[in-house]
Amino acid sequence: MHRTLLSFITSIFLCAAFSSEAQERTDWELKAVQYERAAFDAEDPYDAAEALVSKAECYKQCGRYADAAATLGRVGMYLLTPERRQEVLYRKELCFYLAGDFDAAASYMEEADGEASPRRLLLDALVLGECARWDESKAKASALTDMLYDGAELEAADAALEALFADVPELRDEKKAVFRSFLPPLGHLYSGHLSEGLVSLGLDAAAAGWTVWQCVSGNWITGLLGGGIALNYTLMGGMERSAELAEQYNHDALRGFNDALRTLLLQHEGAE
Amino acid sequence: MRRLCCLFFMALTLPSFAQRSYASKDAAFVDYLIGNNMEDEAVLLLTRSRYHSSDTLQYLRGWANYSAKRLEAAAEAFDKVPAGSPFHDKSLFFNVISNAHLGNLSRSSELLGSYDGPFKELKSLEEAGIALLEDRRDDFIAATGGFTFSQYALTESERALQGIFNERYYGRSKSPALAAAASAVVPGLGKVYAGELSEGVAAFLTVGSLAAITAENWAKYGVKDWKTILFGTLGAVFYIGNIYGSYVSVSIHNNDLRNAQDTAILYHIHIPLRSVFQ
Repeated sequence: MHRTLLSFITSIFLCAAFSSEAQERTDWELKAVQYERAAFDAEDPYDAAEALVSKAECYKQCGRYADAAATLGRVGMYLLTPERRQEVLYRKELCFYLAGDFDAAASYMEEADGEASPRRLLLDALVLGECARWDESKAKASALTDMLYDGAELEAADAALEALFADVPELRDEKKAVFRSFLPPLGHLYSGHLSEGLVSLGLDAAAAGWTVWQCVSGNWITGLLGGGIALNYTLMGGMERSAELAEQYNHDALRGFNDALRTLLLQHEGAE
Repeated sequence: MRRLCCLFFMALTLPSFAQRSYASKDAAFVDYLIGNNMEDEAVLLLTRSRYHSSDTLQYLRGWANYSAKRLEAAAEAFDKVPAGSPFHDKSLFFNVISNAHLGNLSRSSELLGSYDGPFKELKSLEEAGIALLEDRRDDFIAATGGFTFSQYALTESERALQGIFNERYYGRSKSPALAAAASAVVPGLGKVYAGELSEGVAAFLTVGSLAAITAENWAKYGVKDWKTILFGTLGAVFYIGNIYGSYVSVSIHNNDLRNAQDTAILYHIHIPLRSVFQ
């Protein structure tokens, strides 16, 4: 009886101890501190560099991509072997991409000169897509499908890519939107909001009409001051709004295209 | 059964004791983390690792939290550093600053009142700063009795506090009523007085334009014409709104000035600590 009780209590304790240990093991943030400690204590700079790479991986695991990228930025690249250097560059590109800093990701992509692998081509294609460098993105995506498939599968994958890249978004220039707003509703139309542009045109016309009507009636002060103030507000407001709409259009178009690109590329087995 | 209980107790307590270490072992690493802008990691290390309870641990926790701008946690940890500890003086003064930033000025005063250590002039500086923050004019004057203006780390802050005191109690503050009166005479003038030149010009042009339009319509069509009534009403609304706005602008200006002074006080009671306890 005693032996049964003893083994029962012991097993409860062991479960608790191991679950606690497991919880600590999965605590990536604490692990990151431990790797920082390893880098701090390391006598060999190479060991310190490797500890920092591991620390960055911990941050990546807990979703702190910007911190992961910053940690990788502290790694002494000159200490690493060429292969390891390429690996760290890939991780930097990935972390910056996940952190939403696509220009920085692209800069690390350009720095890399190692052998192309499916995962690198996938990441490059996504980064270039986010930077609106469509032709380069398409080239990387094609290289990825070439690497993964052949025969009918390759033809199908290339056809899907062609179909997607045939419809790349045409981004709007905010300055052009503002310039076109001098003739409402052209600025709004350029940003894809015709109905709002017509409302803006109506307000501008009302302000201008008031000015003309009052001046013709001999009320010069009322016409020029009142109408001028109103026209200033409607026309300038329309210009500002056009710039805003162009920015919003670009954001939505980029997001839509890149989401579709990501979905398409992640379907390929072996690329992840 | 007694043997069983013993075994159970040992199994429960031994692992935690076995893994504990002394915080002093990690002090250099914690300093390194804080010095390299990794304060959050220092806090994590000190809260999640298993350490024997000690004054070093409490001091390091306080210091890490203070550096990470977690002032409540910092104050709580500094409070636990006992009087005989080599970290006591530094903990106490940084506890004063933490509480001052949190708005617990009475706690800061209480901590300073309990201090009887070697940093007497620093204590006077902190007391003067807290008195100024609490608007205790006489206490500020009493505390400045401890200023010697001869200690390198303290002189600049002592002069700065004296300057803020003079500005606050002997300087000219702007009058909201005067701003309102100025805007009543010339629309926008009160805003200019409050330091808002562009707002003042805009108010002048708006009220002036509406007045001109009203005058034109009044002269041509009489006082009962709809345009006279419309623009006259709009003009009156803007005119009265501008008077009220000028009053509020000066009040905001005075409030901003006071906040800026408070920020400067907190800065000047904090900076010397870094030099003194470096």
